[in-house]
Amino acid sequence: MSDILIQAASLTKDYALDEGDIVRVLHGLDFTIEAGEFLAIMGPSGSGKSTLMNLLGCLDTPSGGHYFIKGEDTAEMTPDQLASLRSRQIGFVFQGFNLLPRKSLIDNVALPLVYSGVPRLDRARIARAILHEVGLGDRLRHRPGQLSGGQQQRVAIARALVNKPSLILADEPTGNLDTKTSEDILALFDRLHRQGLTIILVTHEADVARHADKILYLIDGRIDRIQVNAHAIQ
Amino acid sequence: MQFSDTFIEASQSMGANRLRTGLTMLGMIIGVASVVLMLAIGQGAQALVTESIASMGSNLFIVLSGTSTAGGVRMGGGTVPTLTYKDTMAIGELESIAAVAPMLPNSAPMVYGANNWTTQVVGTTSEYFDVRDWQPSLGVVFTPTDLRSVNRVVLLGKTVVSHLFGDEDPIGKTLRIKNNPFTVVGVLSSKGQSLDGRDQDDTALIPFTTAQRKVFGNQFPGMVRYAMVKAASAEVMPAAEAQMNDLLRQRHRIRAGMDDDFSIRNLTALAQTAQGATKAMSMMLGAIAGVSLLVGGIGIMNIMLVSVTERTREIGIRMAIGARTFDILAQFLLEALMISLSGSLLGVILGVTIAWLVATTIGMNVVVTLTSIFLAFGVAAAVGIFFGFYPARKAAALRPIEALRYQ
Ligand SMILES: Nc1ncnc2c1ncn2[C@@H]1O[C@H](COP(=O)(O)OP(=O)(O)OP(=O)(O)O)[C@@H](O)[C@H]1O
Ligand SMILES: [Mg+2]
Repeated sequence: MSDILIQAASLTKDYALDEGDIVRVLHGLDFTIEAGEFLAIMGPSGSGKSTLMNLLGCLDTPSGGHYFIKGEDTAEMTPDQLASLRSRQIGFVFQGFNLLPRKSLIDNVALPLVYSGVPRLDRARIARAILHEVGLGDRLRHRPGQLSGGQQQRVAIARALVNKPSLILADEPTGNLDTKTSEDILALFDRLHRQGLTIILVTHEADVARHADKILYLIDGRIDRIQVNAHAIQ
Repeated sequence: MQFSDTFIEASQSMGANRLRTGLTMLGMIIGVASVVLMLAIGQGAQALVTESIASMGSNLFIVLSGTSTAGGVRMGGGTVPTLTYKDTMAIGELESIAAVAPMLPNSAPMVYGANNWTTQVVGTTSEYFDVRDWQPSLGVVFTPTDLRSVNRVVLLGKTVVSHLFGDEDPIGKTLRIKNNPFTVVGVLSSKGQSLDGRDQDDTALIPFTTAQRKVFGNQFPGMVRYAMVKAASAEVMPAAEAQMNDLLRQRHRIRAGMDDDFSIRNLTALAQTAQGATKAMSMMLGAIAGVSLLVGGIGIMNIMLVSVTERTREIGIRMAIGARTFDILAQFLLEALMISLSGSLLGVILGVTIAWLVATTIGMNVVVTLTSIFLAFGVAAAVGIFFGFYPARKAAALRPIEALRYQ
């Protein structure tokens, strides 16, 4: 458990505003995450959590500093190398699900397989299996719009898992769900964690953060503290 | 991403917006159909002109009698008879001239049995057949003996034969021209339309002497209306024209400084002008059609740009889950290409159908060639790629996060 999967070195992010001003949202973050770790990121609204997640998911590029995955500097990668990283290593669960409304659940879940070059017949099989796993095996042909929020969240998680990534990034996966549904989804994350996946999730709720090994507190774009949860010490 | 996946994605997005796809396609359909149709009409006109020029005979002059000024009014050619039969014989003596045919045309009714038909009856000599490169398909031409003996013999054009004889064999039959009995000795091979659109087969040829003395009578004995002259070769045409001019001025005793009382027209030059004009016309038609194809292409670009903007978020999602730049580029490019190709396929079908309708209903001469179909198709595909590329590249160049944030 000492392989370093992710390393952030003086990671900064600036946004250029329309008026020409530049605001610094992340102020030189340094941290490492080991393979198989379960990390929760907490912090007040506007502290830069989503910004950080976008950097970790290679959806955005840092304004300064370096971000290494498995020891490789993402700044030196071409757009296509980053795409292949997103395709094979990273599963991203968005705050707003981001499912394609015109495609069926099975097609939504199978889409990452299309881009990673899995043959058509295998795609359907894999996508079906994963939808079964998240408890939606009987709704393969439904459209996202025909599902509840919790169900859509599970589809989004299924899609993030379909390429067997080593890293799951989830931005407030339980943000607008009731307690029962949240528990179901967290149980799923716990199971994935036990299977050895690295998980990073953003949350506002202490109950959710308790599932993680470590909690990273972000305040105004700076790391306030990193706290190790009691159950992870043993 | 495999090609079949790209194809499915592109078809799905075409199917998701059927009306819009259809309207875009319509621009392409109209563009390609008009290119096919305009090329067909242009090539049809060119083919017609080339055919009539070939049927006219080569290296031809026409010498008209009389364009003298009468009381300050310039008369049209052939109005005042100044050209004599002897003039034409003298022209025939010139070295640069291969053959000369004096012409005495007149409209006359012809009767055979219960049928009658009015046509242009032309008195000429046997050299006419050499001048026009025109041989009978049945029977024989008339001979110098027929001319000397002033025989009542006639050669008929195809159109006249069909009106007077129907399916009957006309050779050896007797018909009446202005009540004079004539024996049919030959039927001329078919020439089709002339440059000015007349039916060249609607004619009857009789010996010049017979025409003068027995049929038309003559207010001006020894005069001809005009002469058709064939030069020995294309190279000597300018020399032949100058020599004829000198010869006729001398014979007509026209002093230096006075106007000619005849006129010489170079039919070959006229034919070339006509050919040039139809070529220019068909190129212009093609260009106009090309513009509509261009407009169709811009329509595709417009729709694809709207589509890219509308689907920015979707592009962001696809990138976030692993789509590469090329995957996005290929999807949008293929969509544009499919719209333009299916549009041009329908356009070719429509264009050929309209060309066929034009040909059968109003009898216009149209020529649809495989080349013009492939040309239209190729241009349409190029237009699709060209106008599809910009929006596709725009989509592919988006950064994932920008695309995802797009509202
Ligand atoms: N595209 C952008 N352009 C300019 N400023 C931005 C942009 N995105 C985020 N910001 C700013 O960066 C800061 C951090 O935003 P971020 O979305 O990372 O916060 P967060 O911690 O995820 O908040 P929340 O808990 O509400 O989701 C905010 O002040 C926000 O206004
Ligand atoms: Mg956020």
